[in-house]
Amino acid sequence: MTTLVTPAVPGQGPGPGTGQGTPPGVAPSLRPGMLPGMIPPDDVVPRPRRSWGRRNAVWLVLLPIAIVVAAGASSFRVWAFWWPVGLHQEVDRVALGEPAHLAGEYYDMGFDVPERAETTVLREVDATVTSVEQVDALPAPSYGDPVAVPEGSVVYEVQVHFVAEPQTDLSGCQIALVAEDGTRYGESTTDALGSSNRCSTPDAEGFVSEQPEWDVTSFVLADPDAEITQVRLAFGGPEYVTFELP
Amino acid sequence: MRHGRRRITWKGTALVVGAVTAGCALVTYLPQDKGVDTPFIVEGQVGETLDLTYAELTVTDVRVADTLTGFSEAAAAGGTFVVVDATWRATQGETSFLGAEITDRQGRRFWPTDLTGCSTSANAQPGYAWRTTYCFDVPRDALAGATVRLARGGQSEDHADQRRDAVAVIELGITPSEAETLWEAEETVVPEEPGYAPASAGGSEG
Repeated sequence: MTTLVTPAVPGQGPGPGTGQGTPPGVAPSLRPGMLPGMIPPDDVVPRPRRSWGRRNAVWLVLLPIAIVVAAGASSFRVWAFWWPVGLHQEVDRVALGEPAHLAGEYYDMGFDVPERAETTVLREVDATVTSVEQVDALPAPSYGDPVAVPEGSVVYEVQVHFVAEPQTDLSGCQIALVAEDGTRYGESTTDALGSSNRCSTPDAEGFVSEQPEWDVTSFVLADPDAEITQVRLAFGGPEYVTFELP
Repeated sequence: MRHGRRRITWKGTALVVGAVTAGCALVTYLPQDKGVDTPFIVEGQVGETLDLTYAELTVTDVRVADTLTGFSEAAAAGGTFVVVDATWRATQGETSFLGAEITDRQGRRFWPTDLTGCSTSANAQPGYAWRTTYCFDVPRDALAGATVRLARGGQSEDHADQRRDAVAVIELGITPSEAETLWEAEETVVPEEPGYAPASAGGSEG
């Protein structure tokens, strides 16, 4: 038989004169998890204690997920700042005289082709480095004063043949010579003559291609003792192609 | 017996408090800041070519001027201008050289001015030496014993962008007696625009 109010301790019940020796609100004999007035279960069967792994199974599953999420959230600088700037992904590697396919997406501002403004565009260019030769002097630039070869420098003339759809964006073109020790010569978007449109012909008016095929010549300053082993072509990266010199 | 509610135990409390205390003590007392922040200082003199790993740097000349004149403007110094001519030769790839300041014997630091064609930074690639002129307006008592600090890491109050990177510190070679003479002289300097360095400005390695 049960009652709704069951004093756990004699003398604990309501009424004057009770509570002597016991501070109010304290029930010393109550079992953990029991409040005054609760009915104690009379058929508690001790269950076998589960292992640590079983008790924490949910958290063990969530832990690797949390680690991946935390690492991804804190690595935003890699893809937001580091990866887009610089040449990090070699998409093709060929020998001198062979065509390489350079494909990569970029965000078009629409300066030359307004229809492409503020869209992500896939740029595809087939390029062939046909010649890399050391020359004695720099030719006259398209504009500005003639540039003399600085003391302590040598000049390489790099010739590249391009095939691409007309209206392909060619801004940010980099034609770099890589030496055996890893030094990168001429990786700037501006060449030794001051041209900042290195993948376009000298008479080009904008930064988009006008013909299906064309040739360009770019000049790069290098150290006299540099052993040039590669040419890299890119449009700001992160994708680039490598031409290995014999 | 468990009823789904855990009790706070002295053992668990001591474990958490102890771990937090130990972590705070490690962060507070280990000298980790110095190890993380210190740049690799490469010291040298005027005319000496310094290897900064990412570039070779030569301070080719140091001049003092009351007035700088350029293509379209002239500038009078509040104190006096210290004009530092330097050449950078990048050795790895295209590099911007953003750090430039003069430090005097009292530890005061003076940042460069961009008046009349003076540069506050430079940009160069491997394959050539690039000439740059820095100008600093400093007070009279800063001349003697001053050094110039040049690096690729950006210029800031705490040198935050130069941590764990090579930094050049070059003695300007101004003695106290020379400082008085330089201060009294009335000189006008026309800073050169940045450009390819001539062979004579290439320092000990040409």
